[in-house]
Amino acid sequence: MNTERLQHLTEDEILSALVDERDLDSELKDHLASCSLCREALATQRQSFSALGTRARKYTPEMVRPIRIPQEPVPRRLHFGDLKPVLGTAVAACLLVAVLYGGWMRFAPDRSGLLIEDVDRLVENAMPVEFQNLLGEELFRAEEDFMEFIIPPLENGDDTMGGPENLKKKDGIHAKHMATITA
Amino acid sequence: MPNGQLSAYDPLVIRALEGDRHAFQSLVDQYQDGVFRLVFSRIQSRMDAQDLSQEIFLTAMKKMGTLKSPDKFKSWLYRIAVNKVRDHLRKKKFMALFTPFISDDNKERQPGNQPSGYSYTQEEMTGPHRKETAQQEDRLHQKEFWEHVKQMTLELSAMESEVFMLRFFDQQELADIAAILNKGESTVKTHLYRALKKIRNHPGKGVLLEGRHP
Repeated sequence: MNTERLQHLTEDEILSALVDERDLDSELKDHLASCSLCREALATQRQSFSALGTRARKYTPEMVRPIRIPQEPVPRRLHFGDLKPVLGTAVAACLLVAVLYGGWMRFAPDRSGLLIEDVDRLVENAMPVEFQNLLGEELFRAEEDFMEFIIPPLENGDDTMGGPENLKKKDGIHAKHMATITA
Repeated sequence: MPNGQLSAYDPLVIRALEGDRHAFQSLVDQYQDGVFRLVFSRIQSRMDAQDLSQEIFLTAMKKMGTLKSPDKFKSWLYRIAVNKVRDHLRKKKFMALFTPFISDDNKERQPGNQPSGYSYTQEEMTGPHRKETAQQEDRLHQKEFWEHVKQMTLELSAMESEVFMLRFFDQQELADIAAILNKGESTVKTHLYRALKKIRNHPGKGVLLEGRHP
């Protein structure tokens, strides 16, 4: 089957070819290869734009004076060798820090035990001692047994406060305790 | 090597990278015409193009140590040039806001206030060739040509204009343009295609493309 294109390239297609012939469809490429008219149209366009560039160069004036660079040396590109002193200094500084830190850790007094004690104390009660005194928490703790004696905890199963029997029993216990305290 | 194709490892570039000032001066000698043309075609003022070219090479010298691929020296240099031109035009645009009554900031610098932006040297103004008809005619064509180029670039976007000029004025390959502008090759092709299409429809196409003078 003959797939050759019969129509000539449009102006836009000629411009596409002018930009880059390789980007044309294979059909257009084949047509361009075989059609002298389209090749001529493309060559004319190419020639026009090339001539434009030629005229631009022709109509550009000469430089006023040639460019001269100053006498200072051109900055060199950095090589690994240039970085050696910097790297050496950095490594020496790191080593120094490591040695100093190691020595300090070795000879510094061991405070880890004190720290654990502090942590334990804080876990038990985070409030400072002064405030604990103000709130009477120290006092409360010291007389806990005494308070337990004053207000005894409920016995197992004795979770009701209602009932005359219970009240009598409680009253009896309370009277007994109060007598002990008074004594 | 005329302004152009650079071998994979140009010994001059290698030597310049090692800090050889003479090698760098040789590179300047090699590329100064190309850089000057690039600058002049964008700003169309001889004195400014001269100053800017000098500045471009000074920047290149200072930044020589940052050039990673010695085989891409030309693209690297042209990228500096394109950026400098862009900065110059931006500054010029900004300054124009403060000088509304002066249409061209180069007026003071140009003897005879040449409106084309092309400034003649003292020698050209007073020299023996000044009155020669052929030269005068040539200057007229020159003035007219750059006026049309200016009009044409106004029709194009900044990128289209840059790609077009690099391709046809500075004769750069698509891959080199992509490297100079730090864009993909397909992007460059798209901009070039759009630019060509706009120029094809431009009223001054005859003068620009066919060299016809009205």
